[in-house]
Amino acid sequence: MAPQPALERIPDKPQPRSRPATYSWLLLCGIITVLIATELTVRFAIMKASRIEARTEQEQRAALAIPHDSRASHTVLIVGNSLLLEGVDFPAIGNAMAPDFKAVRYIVEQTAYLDWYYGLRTLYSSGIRPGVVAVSLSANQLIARNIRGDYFAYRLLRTRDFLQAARDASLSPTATFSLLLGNLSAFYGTRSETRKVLLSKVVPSVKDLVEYMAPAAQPRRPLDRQRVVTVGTQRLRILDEMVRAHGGRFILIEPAALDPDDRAYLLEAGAKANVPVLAPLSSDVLSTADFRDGFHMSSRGAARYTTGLAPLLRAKCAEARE
Amino acid sequence: MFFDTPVYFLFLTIVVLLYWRLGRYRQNILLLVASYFFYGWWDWRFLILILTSTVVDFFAAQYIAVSSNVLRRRTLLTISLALNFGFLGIFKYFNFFADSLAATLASFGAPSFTPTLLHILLPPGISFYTFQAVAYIVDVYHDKMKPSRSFVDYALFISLFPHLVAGPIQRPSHLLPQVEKPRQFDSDRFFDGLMLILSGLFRKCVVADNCAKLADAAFSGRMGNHNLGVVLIGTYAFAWQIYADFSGYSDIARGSAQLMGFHFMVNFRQPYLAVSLQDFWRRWHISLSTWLRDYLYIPLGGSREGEGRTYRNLMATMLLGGLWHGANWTFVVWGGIHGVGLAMERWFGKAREIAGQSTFVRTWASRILFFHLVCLAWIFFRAQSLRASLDFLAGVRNIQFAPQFLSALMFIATYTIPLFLLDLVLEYRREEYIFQSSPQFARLAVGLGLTALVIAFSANSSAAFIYFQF
Repeated sequence: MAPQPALERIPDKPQPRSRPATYSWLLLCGIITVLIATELTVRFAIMKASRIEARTEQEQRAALAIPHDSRASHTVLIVGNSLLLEGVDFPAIGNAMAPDFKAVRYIVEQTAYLDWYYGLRTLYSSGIRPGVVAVSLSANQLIARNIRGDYFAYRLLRTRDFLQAARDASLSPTATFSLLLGNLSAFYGTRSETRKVLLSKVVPSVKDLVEYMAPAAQPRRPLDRQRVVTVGTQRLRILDEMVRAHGGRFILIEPAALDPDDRAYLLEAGAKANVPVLAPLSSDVLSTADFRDGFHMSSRGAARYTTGLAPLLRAKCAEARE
Repeated sequence: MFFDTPVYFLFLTIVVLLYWRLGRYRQNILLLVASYFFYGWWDWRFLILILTSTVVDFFAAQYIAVSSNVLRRRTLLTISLALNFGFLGIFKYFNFFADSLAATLASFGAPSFTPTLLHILLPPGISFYTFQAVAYIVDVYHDKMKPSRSFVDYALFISLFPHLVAGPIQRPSHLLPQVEKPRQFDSDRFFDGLMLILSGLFRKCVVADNCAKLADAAFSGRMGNHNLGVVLIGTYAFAWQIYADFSGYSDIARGSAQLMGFHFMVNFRQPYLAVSLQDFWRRWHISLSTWLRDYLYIPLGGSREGEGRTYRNLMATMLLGGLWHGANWTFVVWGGIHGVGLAMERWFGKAREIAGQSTFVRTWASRILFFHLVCLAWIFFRAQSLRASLDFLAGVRNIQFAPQFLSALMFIATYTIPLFLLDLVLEYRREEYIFQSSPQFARLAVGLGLTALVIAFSANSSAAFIYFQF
């Protein structure tokens, strides 16, 4: 082994410095100031710089602007994730629903059941009372136990629910604390999106590396019918009860999927829970050309899906109002 | 509790605020409770292991110190070492040796069998606190130090939370006296501690976690088939990831300790500016390399028993040092590459030659050469298996280049050049803390700049500290 220098001794006190304690305080105060400035910048500037954040913010405001009384009975709140975003031509849906109904969309990407269970609780606690609530989730997303971490906490969670949400998602104590912080701070909750915006400005070539850096996709496992039906039924009932308790009607929208089991199991769970499930296109009329990546729809697929969904949704909303 | 999470900083703030309001004995009690809380945050059951080891070593050291009977002293030392290495062996190496034994027997034509494997979690930091406990008991046995009189002081020496899970491995002669004496609040040291924490966060969250994305992509095959471009990107990204990750961890550990008046030994001294492998090991994971030197290489005979035995001792030390990192043959090969390199340097007297003629060009040529030799060894350290390492390495024969590779190299450079420049400043100014000799307001600006960089450019997906698994 190479000879090493003698073990270090505790260094002698360095040469005297001017009022060093003041500098420690200044550094700590400076750090706090930088954190506060970051929080304010994120709240008022970054949200506008990011296309995704601007869209999400706008949709969140629209959802929160739904009237708090019977005037909202003609309002249909449609929530979901990127499958809804890319699978539905929303202006076309809005036109098809008008003038009897007003469709309000609120999409948060990478979300699943738990995100929207708590998301709806938060929206209801703000006082909104939409006449119909439609949630768009695939079979896997309906039975998932995960949440979209700190971003979910910022966008969809109310502070008093954070412990329960952490328990439901089986989070570690560290992740639970993170959830609380994400709920309280715009910077912490949206830091992932904020940093993407900053990084793309500083290192524009980072866009070339996105496909490398994305986490490896998990191989899709075949759906377990019993699990989807059992857990799905239970969860659909929970959502249905929550919406009914606030004077509305609940609908599940099945995003188009190439796997026929997805549709079949969701319809079965919906029937057991007595919840209407809208599944406009069956897998036998879909082809890979309808999908961009086997999961999200292409523009062609979205047009076909929207054409199928609009009349079904309108009919269900009319039925619900009666 | 990871050092790069908000909950750690909440915990640290509460501990530091309470700490400076108490006297020495209560400070130690507070730190011991806090350290066990910190450790139990992962899983309280791990506490049983560390407590057992602490109790046995404390009393073994007491009896060794008061006993004049050689046999009894040796027996107590053996019991203590057997317990410490026994825990380490069972929790870290049992499955590895069982698997290796089964594979070896099968290769000799013995009937194949499935070894019984233990399905247990590796307790965090077991390799680190075991080495610290061993150093203590061996030093007491050799009468190099007196045993601690207080169980609380000894338990705190073993479990003080900043070094508990990934070092730096503290020597009893360095840390124990600090634990036993009252600590005075020193505002210089407090400020330096804050700067160390900020520097550590920058290294870990900005440099390491961003480089990790490309290292993971290259080694996992997400960048396509292994070719020269992928090998270079993966290797450079991992070399900077592991350095920034572990030196960042060490900086946060040292900084946290300094907020409470403790001084931890420096663990890294700009290792990628080394001009030889020997020089590299004076700069890389210093707390481990000095431990291996003092408790393995020298007891084996060091360089005192002829050239042949020196090479044997060198190889044994490096191979075991490699195995210390993890139960995988890849770590043994990594240690072996360094062992062979050090042996060759000794044989050719290269280190002395370079030291004697340190012109600017020779110094930088050596730095570049040895950086790449270290990088070569990192491939074995990073890959999941020996086969995967060789497959990855074989990619150098396949000369391909895609436009994205240039973006990837620029991405790595964007994050590593600031760290490299920081290292150059530390090297040429011979400083322990960044910009130590600069005016305080300049250091303040650097501290705030680091804060802003950590906030703005930390990676979105935080990878666990690499050395936590060891």
